[in-house]
Amino acid sequence: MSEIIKINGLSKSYGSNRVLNNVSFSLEDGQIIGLLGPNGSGKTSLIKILTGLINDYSGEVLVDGLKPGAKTKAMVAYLPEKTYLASWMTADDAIKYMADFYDDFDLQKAMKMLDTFQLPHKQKARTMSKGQQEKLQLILVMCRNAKIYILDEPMGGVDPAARDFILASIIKNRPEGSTLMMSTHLIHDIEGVLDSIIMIGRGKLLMQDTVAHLTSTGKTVNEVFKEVFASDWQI
Amino acid sequence: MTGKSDKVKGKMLKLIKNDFLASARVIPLFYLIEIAALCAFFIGKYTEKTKILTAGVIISLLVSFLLVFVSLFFVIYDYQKSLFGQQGYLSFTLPVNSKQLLGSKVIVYGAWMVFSFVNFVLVLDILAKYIQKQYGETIDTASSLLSVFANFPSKAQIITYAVYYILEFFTIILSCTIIVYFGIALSHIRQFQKANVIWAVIISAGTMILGLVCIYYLEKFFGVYLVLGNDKSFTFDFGDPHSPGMQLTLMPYLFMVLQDLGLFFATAHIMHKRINIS
Repeated sequence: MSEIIKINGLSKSYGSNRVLNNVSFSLEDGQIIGLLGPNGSGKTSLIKILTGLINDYSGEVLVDGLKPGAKTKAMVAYLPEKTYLASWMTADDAIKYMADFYDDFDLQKAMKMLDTFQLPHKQKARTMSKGQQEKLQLILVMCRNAKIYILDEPMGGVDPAARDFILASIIKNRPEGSTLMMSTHLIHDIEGVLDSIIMIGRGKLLMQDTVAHLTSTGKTVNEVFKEVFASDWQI
Repeated sequence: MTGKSDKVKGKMLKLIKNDFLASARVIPLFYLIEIAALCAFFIGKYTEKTKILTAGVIISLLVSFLLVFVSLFFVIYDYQKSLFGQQGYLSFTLPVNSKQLLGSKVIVYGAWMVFSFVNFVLVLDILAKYIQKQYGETIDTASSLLSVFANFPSKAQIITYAVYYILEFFTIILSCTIIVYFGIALSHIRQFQKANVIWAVIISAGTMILGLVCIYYLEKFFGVYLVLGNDKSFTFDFGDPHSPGMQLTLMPYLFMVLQDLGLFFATAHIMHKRINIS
């Protein structure tokens, strides 16, 4: 195993609001990592920095030994919380668009997955339901043979019945040896697949541990999360 | 080294292709309407049906005029939406840098703008020729245009003169596009984000006015002129032009090129360092 993500003394502020405060950790490749924390804890800012969407921060961030930029973007498959498809794009257009830019994109697999997810090939993204758009975006991400997958709330807007299906699709389509980082509130749904967790709150790293070590005490990840973010965090 | 540069070129071409596809949904429709109107005009002309002819003239003129504004609208709308709206999550995570993202927009939308102006001039020329003929005017547009160059001693000078104005025209369009892009990008940094539309207008207009003021004073105090001499010579004059012949001022052109380069890199820097897609 080698170090795929290394963060050292990372801080980020929006004006006077410090959203990340001297965060340091490193991750080894090939793991499934849960990025956990309440709303406003700094998860999305951390993800945006890792994916190269935010570049004005202090501290050191290395993705596979490189500063986030065009090269790291080629190896990171990112699923944002928001829907990002252009209104003119159909599902086929979106797939061709991704295939154009990412050398690791599997076009055939994407076309097959469209059928598996029962998504219309020629329907414009703007006329799709939110659920359909989210499924399409998941296809666009999981059809890449990327080194790192970063998924921001992949099951956020999905009904409980579809969550298992989506999680199973993510795990099934993730290439062997790749690293998968998922941020979510729905810890109970994903804790069974996690190798390790990172908990952040109010911009600080509160915990980094393996799930095996964490649960050896007889507690679930969900219970540990509730303990860490007890009522005083909600004030 | 070559492999790396080929990859960069390849990604740039893909960006241009996709930006063109994104813009090609609406703009070509207007060109189709214009072509249909011009066809109606020619049909009306040859069949001598005044109503069809008049409709053709009016619609083709209106559409060609409208096309300039439609292109301008898309220059702004697509840039804003694809980079600073939610689609920015897609654009800014592509394996390209911000200079490539910006460069592709400038090339595609600059081309649409130039094309819309050229189209407007062509339609005007077609209709003007017809109207001149219709009302018994004997003036031929081309020869009247060429009469402007009657005092020019050589063809080379006429070509220089034409190239100068064509280049200046393209530079002005490019400058306007980059100034607007700079204004929109800067209006999306945290300090201006809340009222970004108003700030985009203020910054773009301010930059344009500042540019014009700079051109005025630079031309006044540090003028650079290309002089097309009567003896078929080309010379450069600095300060006040004193050589005899046709003087072409170069300072506005030089300033615009430098301004465009500066604003291009400033906009790319803002996009890379200061924008947070929300």
